[in-house]
Formats: sequence, structure tokens, C-alpha cells
Amino acid sequence: MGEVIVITSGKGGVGKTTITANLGVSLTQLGYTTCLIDADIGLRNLDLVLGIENKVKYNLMDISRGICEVDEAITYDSRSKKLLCLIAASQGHFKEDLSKEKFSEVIRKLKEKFHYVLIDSPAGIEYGFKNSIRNADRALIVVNPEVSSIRDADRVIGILESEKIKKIQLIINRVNLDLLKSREIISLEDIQEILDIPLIGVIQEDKSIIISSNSGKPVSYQKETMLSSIFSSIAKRISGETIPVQMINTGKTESLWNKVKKTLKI
Amino acid sequence: MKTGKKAADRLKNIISEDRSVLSVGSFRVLKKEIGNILSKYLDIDKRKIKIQLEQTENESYNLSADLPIKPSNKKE
Repeated sequence: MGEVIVITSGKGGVGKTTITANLGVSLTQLGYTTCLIDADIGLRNLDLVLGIENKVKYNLMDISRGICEVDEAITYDSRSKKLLCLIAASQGHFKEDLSKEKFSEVIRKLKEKFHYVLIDSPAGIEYGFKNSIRNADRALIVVNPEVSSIRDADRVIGILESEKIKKIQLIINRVNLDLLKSREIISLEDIQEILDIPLIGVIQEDKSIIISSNSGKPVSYQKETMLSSIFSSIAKRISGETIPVQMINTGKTESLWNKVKKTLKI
Repeated sequence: MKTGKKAADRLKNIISEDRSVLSVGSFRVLKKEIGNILSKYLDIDKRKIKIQLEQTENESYNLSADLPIKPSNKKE
């Protein structure tokens, strides 16, 4: 039986889709079969970020309406030696069109087949979000170091806790190291204190994220870059390896990123 | 103060309010109405009413109140 992980945030635009794609790639590089599900019905993007949009034949709504079987709607990423695949969202429907029973049924089937099922949740806390967290064994909360993202994340964590999701972990994304150094963004320590859930990864702001999504090649496919090793470490922590994530101390002479690297033991 | 710290302080305040079951405004109204009801029956010092809403361990809330009654001014 595989593990179902929902990637969610409350606020939109914080990097859920990019993180889902890259963690998928990193998990398969560790040898785990991984299926990504784009639960953002009506605003489909995971296929595009992953770069396999032209291969998608069926989507989640086609399964829901009985047009195809779950297996037929799986699009494999040929770069991953058949370990990584995607079930795309439909662009022409609304979130409410996907019944919770049908969605649960799809997840149950995928859970039997794959080591990991990663659900890219829609933003917000309404029906689509509720649907995407319903079957999750674990939730990864993505925040940016800014006030609205953190406040919304707190609300989402409250909902996840009331839905009895036990494993809730934090990814701090888009950390601008210059601003962190000059203390013009909320410190990672403060974010952790406020949200009070275990930290599983810190990802720095990097232009290569945009460049890679332009061409549909997730940064995790690159070898030995800073970002690919960060995603790899997060994937290892997901799979149960103990790699401590320590907080960064600011204001020292040492290069901050070296410090991040050191504390994350990359 | 650097803006990073300012942001953290503002967030800590607003999030503790977000997590509460009552908004600041409705809490004030509650306090006022409790004072009004009690003063029908007792000589309550409305300015000294203290009401606390605290979250207990198991995600539930406890409402407690100090309601000081004015010393009796009845003539012997």
C-alpha cells in the first residue's frame, strides 16, 4: 500500500505545482514509483510544468465520467524510466464536477499500484481543496516567507488537523537569501514558531525554477545543482531518512547559502 | 525594527485571533450583554467585569468570568 501525500497551501501561487513535480522526480530517482495527480480541476498546470502536456490523452474528469479506466488516464514521463506518471486535471470543468466518491475511488486504486501518490491541491479551502485532502496520509504545507501566505497556511493546518491528518509538514519556499540576510523577510525560526509544525524543507528563490518550467524540465532532472539536491533531500525525508533540517542563523559573515547547505546537510 | 520582525509580530497577534472561536468585536458585545443581563438582578460594577476565553488542551474552549458585585449601599 502506497502513501498518499497532498501538497497544499491555502494561498495560491506559492509553488505547489512546481514542488509537486520536482518531488515526484526526486522520489523516482530514489527508486519509488510515483503518481502525481493534478486536483486543480479547471486550472490544469501540472502537465505543463512537468513537460508532458502533449502526451496526456485522458484526464481525471474522464475517469470520473466513466469514459476511461484509471490505468488509461495515466500518462507516463518517459524520462523517468516509467517510474513517474501523472493524472492530469481537466481544463474545461469546475472543481464541483468531480464527486468525492469518484475521487476517493481513483486514489484507492493508485495507492495499490504506486509507492507514492502526490496530490497537487488547488488553492483555497473550498470544495476542491477539501476533496484533495480527504484521502491523504500526509500533508505538505507550502509557504512563502510573507504574511498572507503564513496566515492562510495556519488556517489550512487547522482544517487538516480537524480532518485528523496526523502527519503535517512544512516547506518554506521562495526564500530570498538577500532579504533573509538583511532581515527584511520573516525569519525561518519565526515561521516555524508561528505555524508550529515540523519543517521538512527550505527552498531558496531561484530563477532556474522559471527557466525550467518554460521548457517543461523540472530542476530535479538536472544533475547536482543546488535545487535538485534540496528536492532530493526532501524526498529522502519523505521516504523516512533522518536528515535534520536546522534553522539558518543570520548576520554571520559566512555565506548564507553555504550555511543553508551545511545545516540541511546537502 | 527590521520589517521581518515586524511581520512576525503582526502575524503572531492576528493568528491567535484567527484561531479564536470569537472575533474581537463579538467578544466585546458578549461582555457587554453579560453585564446588562446581570445588572438586572445584581448591582454589578460593569467596568470591572473580566471575561476570559481560553483554549484548553483538547481543542475545546473555557469561558471564565470575574463579575464583581458592588458593596451594598442599603441604609441600615
